[in-house]
Amino acid sequence: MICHGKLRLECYLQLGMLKDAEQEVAAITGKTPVDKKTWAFLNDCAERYYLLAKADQARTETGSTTRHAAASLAVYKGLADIAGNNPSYKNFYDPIRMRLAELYTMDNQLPQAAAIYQGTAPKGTGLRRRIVSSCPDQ
Amino acid sequence: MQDALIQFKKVGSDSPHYPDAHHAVLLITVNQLQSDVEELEGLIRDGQGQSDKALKLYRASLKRAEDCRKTFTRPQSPDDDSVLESYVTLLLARLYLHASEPSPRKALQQLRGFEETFAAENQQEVLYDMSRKAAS
Repeated sequence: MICHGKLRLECYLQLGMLKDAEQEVAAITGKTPVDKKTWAFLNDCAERYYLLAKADQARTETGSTTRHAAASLAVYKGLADIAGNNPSYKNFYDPIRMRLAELYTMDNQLPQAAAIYQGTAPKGTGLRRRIVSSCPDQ
Repeated sequence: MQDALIQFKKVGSDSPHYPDAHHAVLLITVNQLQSDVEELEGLIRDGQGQSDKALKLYRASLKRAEDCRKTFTRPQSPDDDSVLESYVTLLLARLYLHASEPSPRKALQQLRGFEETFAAENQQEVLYDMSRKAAS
């Protein structure tokens, strides 16, 4: 359990520092097998911002949800990587991908959403691997 | 516990027992702080973050945490105090972050460089203790 990493992730998400948030997710999940508490924490974070994005969508005439949707995406991408590569979480892979597609749609990233819905996107985004390899001191 | 705190605070800085007494004061204060932060987070989770009780608890805890944080002498705290310092740093960050009106920037300021500031073995001790308390 990396308490300070989790707190830092919450800071980055609240501040909209999404690149840093993605790196923090990678740091939290990168070194050891992801335990259930960490999974639950990340899932809770992602879900919280997803619900905020949905609330934004319901509130605004334009349905603008970008900020919260992007924050939720940052965490769900990490969860999709874990679920795609870890047998313990493989049952979550498809539901998370569907959630990702919905969030991509809300964030106006339609090609990414379409790729998931059409089943053409590669399994796992490789994001975690890329981020971990680009941060040698994490 | 409050009686012990009062007695420990009476030990003067010229006493040979001062380091132990000072550490005991910090330990009791931090313990109380952790309980208060957990109670506050519970109130916020239950949607009572704006209640009088929560606001009072928040103000008192924040003051105690900030005062406590100031007592640690950098660059070199004694090892035992360093563990407590990392503990207080995390609690202070939680207070900034989990308030009814969060200050993520202030929390981030506390958490930046946490790994470099506090040795890995100290972190493990702190995190073990925090999780043990959270579970109890």
